[in-house]
Amino acid sequence: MTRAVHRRMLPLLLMTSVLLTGCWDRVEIDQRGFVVGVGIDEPDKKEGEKQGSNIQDHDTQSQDKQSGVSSKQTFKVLYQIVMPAGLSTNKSDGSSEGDKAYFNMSVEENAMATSMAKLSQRLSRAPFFEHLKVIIISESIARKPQKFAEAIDFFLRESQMRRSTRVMVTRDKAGNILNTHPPDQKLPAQYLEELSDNTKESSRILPESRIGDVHEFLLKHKSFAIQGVMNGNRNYSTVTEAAVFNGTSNQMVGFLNSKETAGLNFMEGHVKGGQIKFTFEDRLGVFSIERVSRKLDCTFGRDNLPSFIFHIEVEGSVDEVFHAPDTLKEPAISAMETGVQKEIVKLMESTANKLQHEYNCDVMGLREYLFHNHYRWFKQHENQWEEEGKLFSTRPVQMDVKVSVRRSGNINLTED
Amino acid sequence: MRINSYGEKPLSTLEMGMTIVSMLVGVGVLTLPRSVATYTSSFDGWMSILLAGGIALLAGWLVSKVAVRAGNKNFLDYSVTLVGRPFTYLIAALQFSYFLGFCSYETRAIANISKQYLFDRTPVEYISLVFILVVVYGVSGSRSGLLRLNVLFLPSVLIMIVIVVCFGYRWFEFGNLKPFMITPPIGIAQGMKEVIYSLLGFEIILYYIVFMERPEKAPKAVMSGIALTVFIYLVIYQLVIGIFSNIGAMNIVYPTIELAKEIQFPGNFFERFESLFFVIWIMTIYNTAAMGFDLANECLSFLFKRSTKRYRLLIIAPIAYLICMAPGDMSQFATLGNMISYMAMLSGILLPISLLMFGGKKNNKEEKANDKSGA
Repeated sequence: MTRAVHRRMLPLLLMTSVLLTGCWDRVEIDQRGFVVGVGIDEPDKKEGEKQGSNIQDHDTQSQDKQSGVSSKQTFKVLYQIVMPAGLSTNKSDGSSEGDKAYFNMSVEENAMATSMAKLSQRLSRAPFFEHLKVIIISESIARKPQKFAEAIDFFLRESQMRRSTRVMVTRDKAGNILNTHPPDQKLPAQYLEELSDNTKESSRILPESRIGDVHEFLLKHKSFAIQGVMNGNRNYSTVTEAAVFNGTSNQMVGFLNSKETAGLNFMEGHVKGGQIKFTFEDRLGVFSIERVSRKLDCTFGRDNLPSFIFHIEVEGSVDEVFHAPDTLKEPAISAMETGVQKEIVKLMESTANKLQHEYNCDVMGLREYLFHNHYRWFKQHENQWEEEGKLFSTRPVQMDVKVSVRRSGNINLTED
Repeated sequence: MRINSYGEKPLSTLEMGMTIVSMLVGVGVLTLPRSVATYTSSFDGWMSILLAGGIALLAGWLVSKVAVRAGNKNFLDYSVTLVGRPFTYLIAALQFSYFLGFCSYETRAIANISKQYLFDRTPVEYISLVFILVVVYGVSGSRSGLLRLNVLFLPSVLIMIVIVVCFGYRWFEFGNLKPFMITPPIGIAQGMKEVIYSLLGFEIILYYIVFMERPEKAPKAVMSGIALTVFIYLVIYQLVIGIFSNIGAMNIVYPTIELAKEIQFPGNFFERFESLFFVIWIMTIYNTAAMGFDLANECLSFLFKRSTKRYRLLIIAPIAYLICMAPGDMSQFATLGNMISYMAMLSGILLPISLLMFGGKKNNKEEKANDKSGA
């Protein structure tokens, strides 16, 4: 290289050094505060909050009280943040007692993004949402008009967010649920996420409600149900209920209890497993579901209004029978099948009844069915379905359930 | 054209087809499902995509016919023989601004997207500056090397799409595609318009045909390139509708990226697939932008015959950067996109095709006339 080229290279090198000053977005991994769970509650009205095991923010509350804005905030947002040190497993046994892998911090605000900003005022580590697993929303927020959509907007809009984050509603305080800390799980949020996946074990758990799906329901004005979680205490929470949302007003109207949730699962064809307790000939038996297929049909009557029939075929085995007759013989098998069949029809009818007559919310997918398969009719009657004409609540719905008991376990009779 | 070294080896038909695909598949596909879903109901956008693909195929065929007719000559030189020098200057200026705008648009789009998903705090200005610098670097090298880059990058893009499709089907709901055929024709037509915008760019054949081993096969290369692109769009579109449903797709700004974000590999081993998706996607957008830049340079070299490539690049790069930073928000950015699409139709498709008609009718006469006047 000649000297001239050297001379020309020098300014170039200087210029590039300006560009190499660093990365704007560099955040070391130990500087991130991984938020894994979010709980959204109504702010407390009472003074002097009960001291939980979590680190609560007395600071802000006292500040808020001083400035008198406490009542104006609409959300009390609880963030669950990972403490990486508590996660490591290879620690000496002695210290593991006091080590927690998470802490909760709550903020009162009326918008999520500002609540996050408030959080950053208190945490040395910047909150980071890409590993957010669950959002728990308390019933009181979900029941207020508009508030539900307002609460989840941030979690859909922010670019760090994933559409697969779980959303659940609780009768309890969301804060209590996020303190559930069973001995075998380090993080409540992860515990809840895995719990919500247990649909193969129980028919009374609704399929997991992903925030992306909820977004679509809100846009479609479809009534929908999302997983409910309850009795949060130190050692466990229960995921079994379903919170029903009205598609017109996009607010929560009520809960389905666990049996009704099972009925809803059957109607939507979401059952993947679980047990059905049934009686036949005054005996008690437990049927274990292995496979379910669901088909919805409708026929239009003379008044040009549809009536629906659910065809459901269930296969499975018998897990437990008290004082069983000869479970290998045809009469007993068909008796058991009838018993299970009646039980499932009962479940579904009670759900349909509640949805049609109490909540007037078409969660079971009739509206979608009409939209998909009878578009013309749907367009004419779109506004009369749930709202004015209340078509939904008057439509007859029949259940046609077929049960096959394929197996009855290792033994035939328990006692003779 | 000197074709001695290996790097300068002429492109086969397949390689030219891959170049066309790299040019067409740019930022358009990231938002395409949204714009199609906005105008159509349920899954009816497939008709828009197919019809638009048909139109693009026809236009591509015609344009590549023009290119073939030009043969070994540069398109602009060929146009001089047809319509004379002053009018060709106009064409060159138009195409220059189109390719420049195209490059700027792609740059700004990828900067916007990177800002949203990757670089939270890095200013958009900086991201696009760096991108343009890399583009300038790429363009200042050998031109056929730039084309070979397409051949290198495209397979990984296709693999990426295959992965997205395979793993995406976990959340696919067939019900979201129903009911069929409910969109009025006007909606289909509006959807078509959006798709056509994402299918523009095949006019590069006018300039790149000189790199082809067998230029007479150009129509085949262009048509197969367009057909593959339409197929990719269709696959991504149906997946987006199946997963997000029509109304969901309407309200997600970058549905294709959200699609990549949805993907989770079994076992939580690889949780953030979209970062890989981004890397690959930026590569194809880089190709698109670099080719746009290269052709802008080519047009400029026709306008200013004496300039050297280095000065031309130094002139174009700041202009490209300025255009790229001009839009202030999303809606202005969309306006820029529309303007560029109109220019593409005018300068990239209508003008060459009219030249074809012009050239076809008066071919003999013109050539004689030009032989006299030219030289």
